[in-house]
Amino acid sequence: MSYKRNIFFNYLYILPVVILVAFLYLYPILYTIYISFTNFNLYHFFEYQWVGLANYITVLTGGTFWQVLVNTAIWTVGSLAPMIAVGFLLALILNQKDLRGRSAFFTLLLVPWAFPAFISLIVWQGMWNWKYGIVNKVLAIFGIKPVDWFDVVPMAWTMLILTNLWLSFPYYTSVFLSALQSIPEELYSIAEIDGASRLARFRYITLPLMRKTIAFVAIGGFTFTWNNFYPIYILTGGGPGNATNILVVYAYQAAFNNSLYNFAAVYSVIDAAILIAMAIIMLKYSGVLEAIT
Amino acid sequence: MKAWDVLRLGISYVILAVAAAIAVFPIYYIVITSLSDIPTIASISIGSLIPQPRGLTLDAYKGILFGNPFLLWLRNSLILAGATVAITILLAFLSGVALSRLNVPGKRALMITVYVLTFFPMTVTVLPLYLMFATLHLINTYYGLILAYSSGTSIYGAYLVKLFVDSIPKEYEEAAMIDGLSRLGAFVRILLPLSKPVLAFLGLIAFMGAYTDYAMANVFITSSDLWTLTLGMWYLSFVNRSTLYNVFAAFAVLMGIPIMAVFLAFQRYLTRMYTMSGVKG
Amino acid sequence: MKGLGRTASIAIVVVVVIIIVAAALYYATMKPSPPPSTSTVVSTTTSLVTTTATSLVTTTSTATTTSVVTVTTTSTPPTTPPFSLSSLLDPNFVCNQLLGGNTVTITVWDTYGPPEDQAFNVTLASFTQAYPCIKVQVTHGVGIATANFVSAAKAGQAPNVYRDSSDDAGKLFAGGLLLNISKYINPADINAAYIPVAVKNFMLGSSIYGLPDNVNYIVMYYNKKFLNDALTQKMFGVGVDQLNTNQLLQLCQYINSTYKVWCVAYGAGQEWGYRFAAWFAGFGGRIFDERGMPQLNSSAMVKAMEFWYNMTYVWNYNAPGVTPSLEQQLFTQNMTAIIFDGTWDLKIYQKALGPNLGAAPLPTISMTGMRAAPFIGSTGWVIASPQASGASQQQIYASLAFIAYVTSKDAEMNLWNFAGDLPAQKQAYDTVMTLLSSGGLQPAYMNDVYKGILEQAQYGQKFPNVPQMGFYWPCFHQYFTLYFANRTISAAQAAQEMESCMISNMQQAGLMPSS
Repeated sequence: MSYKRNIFFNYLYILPVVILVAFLYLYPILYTIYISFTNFNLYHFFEYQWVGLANYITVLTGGTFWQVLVNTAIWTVGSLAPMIAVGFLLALILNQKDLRGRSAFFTLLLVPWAFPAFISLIVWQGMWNWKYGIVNKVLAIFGIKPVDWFDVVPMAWTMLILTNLWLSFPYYTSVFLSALQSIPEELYSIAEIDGASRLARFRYITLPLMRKTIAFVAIGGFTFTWNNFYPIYILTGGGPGNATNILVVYAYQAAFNNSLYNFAAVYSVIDAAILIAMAIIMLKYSGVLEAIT
Repeated sequence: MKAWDVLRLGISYVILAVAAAIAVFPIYYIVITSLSDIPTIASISIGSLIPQPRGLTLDAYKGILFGNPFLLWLRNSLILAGATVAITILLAFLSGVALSRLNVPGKRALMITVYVLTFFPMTVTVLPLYLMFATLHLINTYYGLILAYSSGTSIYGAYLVKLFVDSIPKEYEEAAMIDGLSRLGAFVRILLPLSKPVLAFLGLIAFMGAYTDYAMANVFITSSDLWTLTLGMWYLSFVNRSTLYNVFAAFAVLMGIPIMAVFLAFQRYLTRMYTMSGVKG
Repeated sequence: MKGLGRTASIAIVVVVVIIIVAAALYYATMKPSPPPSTSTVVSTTTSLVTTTATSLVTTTSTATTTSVVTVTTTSTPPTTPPFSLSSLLDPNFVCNQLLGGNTVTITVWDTYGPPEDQAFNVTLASFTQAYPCIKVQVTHGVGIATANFVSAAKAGQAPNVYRDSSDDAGKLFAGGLLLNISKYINPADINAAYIPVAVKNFMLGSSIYGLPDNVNYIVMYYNKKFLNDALTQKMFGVGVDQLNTNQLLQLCQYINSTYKVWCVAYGAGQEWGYRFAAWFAGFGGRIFDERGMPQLNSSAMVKAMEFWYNMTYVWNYNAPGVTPSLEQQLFTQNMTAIIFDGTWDLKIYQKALGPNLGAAPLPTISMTGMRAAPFIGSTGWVIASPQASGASQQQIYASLAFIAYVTSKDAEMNLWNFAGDLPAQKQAYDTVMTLLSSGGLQPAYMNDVYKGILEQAQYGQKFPNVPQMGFYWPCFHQYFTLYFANRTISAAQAAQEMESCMISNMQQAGLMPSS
């Protein structure tokens, strides 16, 4: 009896979060799913009809959607790989005990994170300018010809990913650094006494202990980057054409440029469905699921 | 070995110096622009990176601080961010501890489901959210925004707290409970202080999210009495089809300084977030 | 034991979900909250008061001549739409007759930027003084064409009054979000009070959905240091206002080599089609045919796109990769001779260039002999439909008085004085014209600048306000930028894609005109 009562009280601990999130997400999501099956748009605004799967068929048989979907994958994976690599590298560097001024460097490296992202993005937009931006001016010092960052598709991707890297690496660095610092010092000293080389210590102590952290951070980063709206919206707006457009920006544009709320809903439903599926698969196979629940 | 160490440290310093320079440069750029009398953000020459005393002016700052209700905007931003931090920490701590310590059948499925809901892009669900808020009279209030800001961070925070508390030995609270504390009492007295690093980190993220948000504030706040810093910034900087970059930059500096101060004050917690788990004993 | 616990937990979860879903459904089905019950009370009292007030007024004015019988006849609602514009501008009539002595509160979303806002605040202060019966709750700093208006309208909580561009408001009107003003104000009055182009901007079919507060369009601003009448007279025997594109190219060649500055700074690579429409028209194109079908897939579009591509990347006369802010920057720093911009930025250029500032119409396209024709647009004040705002009839009446007042002569003169907006109200427009033709502007060189600006008005095109115009911007932007980005696709392909993009959007929106 008291056991069951306990369980009931235990639920009270997690109930607030569940209710808060459900309150804020459940109705909007159900509504979004609902209007994705209707002809609700600015021109069928107060009265609209159920159209079944028609919107989905239009979207899935059109070419642009698939292009945008591929872009979303490029954006996510393309951003995530360098972010993790750079974050990990810097964390390793900062974790060297004989390095002086570590906390000063760490402070400086945190600056991109500490500054409001949308402001930084607007600044970066100016800095990438072909003719007047500082990036090309600095490259010119090294004898590199001005790069047209906005108009050439591969360059636009490079610009987006580099900017996103700048925005995000402090987060990855600090998470990795704190994880590295949580590895007990004794492990290393014992290994050193046993004659393990620096590389061997990294290979057999650091990496295995970091595996879960990396997986956790990678999955979190994946879901965040997949729906990361501002870098693309502010820097390229998905252009030129739709060459750098991702689903979340595309959905936004469908709603707010074209006033086609039903199609915006279709894009978001598909976007979320894919993301959820991917996240669950990744959680399952990385073993993080066991760790976090 | 000695030579290798020197090389290693040398390379480390170079990498750190370059990374730090790149990290700080755009902020430096903003500061220069804010002092400029020219409203641009793309420098016309590389020489303009070094401020010329002749071109320096505080006009943009004066205009923002004395020509506009900057303090009111600041107050609103701080209220929203402060309340978001409080709610986030409270909810994340409670549910994080429960996830880690308590027997709650089905918690895994439940929390995953809830977490997955937050994958839905807010950019589009904002219309139904607006309709809901409108019905509940949450438009033009602090409450609506605070709830919206805290939801994502609390669920994410619950996982962070859970991971963190997992690394704290159970014996700590058990000992306290034998000493006569209730379970909640043990959580609050023992686990709460121990969780300070992760909660500080969480608070920081929650603060940043609320303080720098533009999109939601723009939708749910129309009354100018409730404007936040970001809304004020937009209003002053983006006029017609062009941007007054010096005003924008000055605003960015005014807005960015407090947050950077908070960030740096919390910095030690960032690196200690996981260190507690080293006390596995 | 464990099984029991699980069952219990599942039960609890299910209950919670059901509660949430039920709550959600409840909110979803609930009608947008009606205006608080007090307003119903007010409106009931209203009719009573109206009667009393009317009879009072009538009695006083006709006391000497009329009997009780007349009073009873006039006490049948004397005030039904459509009203005359002048009656709405009469506070006495509005407060005592239309609103029957009641105090009515209306909400207003003000979309003016900082300099115009000063003018608006002056107007607002005088309005509240003149109309003590109307309380105005103003929200400043709202964006033109904001999505918030649409969201609020869906919730039934749109502001009573909003200020928007004529083309965006056209979409809102087509969606049923705005009031058909021609049903409430005599269309003849509106036509008489505002200049024709501005009225047409707010006209869809035969319905008028807004009262214009300005006329706006782009012109060619130039820096007299690099380009002036003396130079063009010497080179071609015409003034700057009479140039054609061939002459422009020669000029650019001259300016480039002589001064080492850009000839033009036009951020074509970022275009959404507002300024480009002028060139498209000059090359002989039109956006819609009579039926409202898009006509972008035309040789005019191809030629216009190629012209600007060549200007930018082949002849290097136009600065590449610039944004509107950067254009402005180059122009104010004497680094480009020409930009295309509207009157809304005039003050910035006046401050930077002083007497070196010149303005002229966009040139003639040599290939067609036609002028590049910018959109002659307007912004103006609109009223949300009752369905969108939940407004009572009295609020609608109060809103009508408000928008009549903020587009009246004095209000538009305020806008002219503070921000240099060209008035759409006829008397204000005439006042400004008289001032300009007498050379009465200070400093004196501004008379010339405004002469050039007004000259452009003769060569404009109507700003389409059909709802499908909303698809022109994104579709044009998408394929034009793709063409402009190193000609990823050819101009012909881009023109074709733009048009089919518009058509497919129109199909998706259910906006195809019936043939």
